[in-house]
Amino acid sequence: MNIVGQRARRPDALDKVKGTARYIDDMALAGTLYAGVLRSPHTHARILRLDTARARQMPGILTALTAKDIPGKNIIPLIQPDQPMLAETEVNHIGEGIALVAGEYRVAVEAALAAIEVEYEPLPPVLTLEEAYEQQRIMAHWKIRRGDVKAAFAQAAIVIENSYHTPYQEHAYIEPNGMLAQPDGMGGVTVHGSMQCPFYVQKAVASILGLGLNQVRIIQMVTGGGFGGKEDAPSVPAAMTALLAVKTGRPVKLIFTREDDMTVMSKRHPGWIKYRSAFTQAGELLAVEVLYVLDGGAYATLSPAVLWRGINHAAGPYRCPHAHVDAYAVRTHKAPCGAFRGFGEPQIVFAAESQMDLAAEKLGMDPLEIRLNNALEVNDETITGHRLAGSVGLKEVIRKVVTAADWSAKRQSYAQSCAGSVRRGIGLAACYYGVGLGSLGRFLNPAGANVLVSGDGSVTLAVGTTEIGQGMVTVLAQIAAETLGSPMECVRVLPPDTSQVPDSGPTVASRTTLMSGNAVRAACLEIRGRMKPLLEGKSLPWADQVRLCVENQVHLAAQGWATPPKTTYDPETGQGEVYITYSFSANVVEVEVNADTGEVLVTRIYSGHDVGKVINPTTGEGQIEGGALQGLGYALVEEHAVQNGRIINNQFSTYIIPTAMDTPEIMPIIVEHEYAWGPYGAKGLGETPIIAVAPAVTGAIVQAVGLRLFEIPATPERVWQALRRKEAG
Amino acid sequence: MKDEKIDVHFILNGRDTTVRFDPSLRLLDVLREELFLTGSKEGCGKGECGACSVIMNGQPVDSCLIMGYQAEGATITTIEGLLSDGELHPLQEAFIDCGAVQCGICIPGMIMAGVALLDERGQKATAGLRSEPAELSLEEIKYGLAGNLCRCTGYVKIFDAIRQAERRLQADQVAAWDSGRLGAAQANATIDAAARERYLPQTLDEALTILAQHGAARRALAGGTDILVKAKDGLFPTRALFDISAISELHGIVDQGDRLWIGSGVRHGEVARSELLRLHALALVSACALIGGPQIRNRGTLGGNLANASPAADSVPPLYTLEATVDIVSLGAQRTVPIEQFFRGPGKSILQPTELIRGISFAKRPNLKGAFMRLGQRQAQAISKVSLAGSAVLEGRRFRYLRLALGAVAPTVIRAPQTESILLNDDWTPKTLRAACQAIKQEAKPIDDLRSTREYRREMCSVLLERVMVALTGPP
Repeated sequence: MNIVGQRARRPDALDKVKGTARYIDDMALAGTLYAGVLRSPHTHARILRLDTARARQMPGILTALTAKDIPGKNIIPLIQPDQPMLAETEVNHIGEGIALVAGEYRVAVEAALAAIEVEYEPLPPVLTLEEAYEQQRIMAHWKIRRGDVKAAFAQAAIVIENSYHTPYQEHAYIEPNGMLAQPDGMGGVTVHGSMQCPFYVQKAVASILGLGLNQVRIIQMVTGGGFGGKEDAPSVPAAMTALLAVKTGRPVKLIFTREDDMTVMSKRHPGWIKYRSAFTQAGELLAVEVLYVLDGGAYATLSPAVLWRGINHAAGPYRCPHAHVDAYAVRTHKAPCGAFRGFGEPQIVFAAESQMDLAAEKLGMDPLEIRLNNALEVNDETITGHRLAGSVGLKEVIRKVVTAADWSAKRQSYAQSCAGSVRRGIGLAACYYGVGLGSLGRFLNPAGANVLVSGDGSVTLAVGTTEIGQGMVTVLAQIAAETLGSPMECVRVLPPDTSQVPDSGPTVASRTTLMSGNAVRAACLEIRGRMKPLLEGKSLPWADQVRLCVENQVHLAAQGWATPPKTTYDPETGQGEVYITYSFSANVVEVEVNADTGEVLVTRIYSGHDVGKVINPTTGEGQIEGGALQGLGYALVEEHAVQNGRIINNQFSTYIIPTAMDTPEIMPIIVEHEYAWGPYGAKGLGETPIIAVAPAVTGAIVQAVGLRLFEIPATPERVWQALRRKEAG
Repeated sequence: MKDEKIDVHFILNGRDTTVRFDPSLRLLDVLREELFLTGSKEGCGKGECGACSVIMNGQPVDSCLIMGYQAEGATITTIEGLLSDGELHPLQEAFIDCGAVQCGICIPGMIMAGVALLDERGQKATAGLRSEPAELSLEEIKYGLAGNLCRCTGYVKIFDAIRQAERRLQADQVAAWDSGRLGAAQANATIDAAARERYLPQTLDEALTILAQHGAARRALAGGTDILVKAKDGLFPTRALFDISAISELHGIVDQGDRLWIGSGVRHGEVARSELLRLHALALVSACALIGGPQIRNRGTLGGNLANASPAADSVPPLYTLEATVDIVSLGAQRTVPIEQFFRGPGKSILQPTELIRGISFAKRPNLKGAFMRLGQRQAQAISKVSLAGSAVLEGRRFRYLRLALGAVAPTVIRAPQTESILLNDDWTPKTLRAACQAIKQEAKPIDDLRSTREYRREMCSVLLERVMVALTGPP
């Protein structure tokens, strides 16, 4: 292979370094109106009166709208039909939209929002996960019933039982959400914006405006980060601007402030995990019994799917013959939680991997040994009973990261240096990730691609998945060039446009290289196949190959369509071949804990991943480095402070993410156990880097100061408190 | 004055530029909306993310924390101005080569901060302050980029890119690209009369006249790093503000013989780089070097840090330990108050709406050592959870002078008199230190808030005391 596997430069980098890449806020159309959203100040309240008459009459204001003005269905179509675009009779979280304004100037919009008259009758809110669980406010429930858990626990040599808590995490993409909608002059509407999933946005806009999908065209602008936060959430502002555009006949733009973005847009679910594990004396995992609860917020959005991925990975990347797991997403009166890199795994993996460490400790084993004892291999079954036919690189990943980290030597030397203020420790954690949407999301799974070879040899790709920084454009251009036999420089990937390609599902679940990659490859193979007879026995440069084919009237365009292998699922037992394949990962983390202050300094992260085949090592490493640091934020500092249902740290001065000065050495390690159905053997890489960082950090803290945290983030206050309690006995 | 626009002149990307705009616009708005230079991005509007970074008068700054009229007379380079005859700057090349770009939204700002870092390094090398060919250390790179958040890359390949560009600049013998180069044509246009009268007083008297006439309806703006954040939160209209940065009476670090005087308009970065202050006010220098990131240090002023009256302000505890006095002026009057009498509570000081802080001064003490330590939520751009400054003169085993001041553990910065007297009244021994560590916990009056807890803060006072004392004098 010439191009796949190479460190090709990113085609999108040039405009990004020049400052000429166009993000949504960089787009200006003549006559564009500013949109404003009137948001609920209450967590839970009845709307008694809502009057926009005065706002409509204000200077510079073109319209002020409420739910009554929605021509279609006032529902964001997703898994459950529970979330309105604008609240009609009741608000269910702070920041929920109740009215919209469009005006000529920002100040006019602000004034009009203030002039909308609303009367609320506050209602009692349910604000915590625990409360919601007690009241059985369940929005989703999944279960696993595997083997004979009772018998397994009865015969266990040791049982480990603990309760774990994980915090909210904010995506903190640096570009806030934004949309610009305009009437298309043919009865439809075109929306440009920052997003991961144009087809979600298309369905939402069409349904709310009562239009056909062919009347709603969605175009993704260059998007400044997503991490799951721009999966479903952008549908709401897209539909809002589209409604305003249709009503006013003008382009309408809505750019979120950072504060609004953090207040109302999705975030990682806070989690509570009660975890019981049974092991044999030899350190073999026999059984798990788990209760997994996520705080879904006010509306279901993607919570059922997030929860489902979490439960499918509940035991970590290990054989687990017996399992009894119940997973619930509960409803509270807070902003909906949704997709975030890792998608329900980081919470439960924090618990599962901590349990592994605790079992090792109890059995006098090394954390490495117990993981190798149980690690999934080819022909093993996952917790869902999925027998893995191939592409299982877990053991190699674990071995490579511990070798790179010099695990055994450091484990030994750090154990002896536990005096003084600064103490060192090293920790290990592993995870796996079912690539793609799995059987639950199978209807969204296929992906399409249009490939066009022009007469000058240039190649145009149109795909339905998006570049959000992860490197899709680069990887797909490499796959196209490799398959066609063209230079990569010839390939241009267009911005996704719903009018140009079939619905290709969302850009999530580490599925883009796999699904769009296969679609691109299929189209390129078709074109190559048509070119082949003419090129037999000839050795021509690419441009001449194309010229010859054009002269001979060869059809040099094709549409590729990738439909994944079959998956299965039995909701009664949670058993099935739920994903088409899995990526595997392990991290070794080194820390220095200051016993006086409780400060945890992570000095090194060795982050290893079996990705099947790395299409581009540089973008691959980029995913690993970025994911590892985001995981480090989750482990050490990131959480939302919520008072009476209000997120009080809704800006970058109070919601703390790592800066350059907080960045440790990060050593990416890539392992390739090719996946037969993947394009050139590739699986997925987007999410594994973030999942198993936190438990490796807390594992390292255990070695440093002898303290196990059952709650993250490991802030200095939390570590220091726990140390004090420990010293007090 | 509601709809009146003003003319502002500056050198933008090497060209003399005059723009007429609404005075409520920030520099970022002027660039993006009036000049269609959309390379500078808005990620937060509060100087936290650095995506809007531009180079102004040779230094990286957040253009979201600068009012448009504050650019009057300045030399500004944006990402659009980096291309030279269509050629990329070596750092832009390096970002592409190293794979340092992902979503790209932080990249223009990150590159501007990186260019400023390389410029500074190049200038130091040229001035012989830095020995060639020593490369920037990883720590220097991280410190230089600490004002720019990136959520995609984990920064690793960005560090690589800085190093690669540095090597290329050296190898090609290119004098580090000098952002000042683009400013060769001095902007010498006359300031718009309306703008000068309302927003850009050029003398102290002009500024004090505005305040004398309008009182609390107008507010002086210097670095903007606090006040423009509050304005964005709607606490007062941006039209109330006027810029005092151009007033020469508020600038300078002056050796007055037995005292040092620092103008209120002196920026944290200037303090951090001042050799004179390093000699006489090390605690202050250390504190100012820790404030924010480069962009914030290049704008935030000492006077602003005082006027903002935050108990967590990092420059204030050192000034307590120097027994500084605050020099306050109003039209036709002036007064000098000890710094401990300046603050009245969180966000409250004795400063009247008609007054400005002219400067700060303190006595020079021979052999004065200084230290500043703090704990924050992260390594950079952190507001202190608790901070401690110490200034001391040690003779033999006895302290001849010792002042300690705590930040973020009371409604204002406070001195720790009991602790000081324990240390002053006895020889410097481990026993004295232990007693002092106990005492300082009793002197702190912390609260629980978003950043930390009362209990933690109280206990950390003694940890910081130990660190400060060791930094001041070495172990007892």
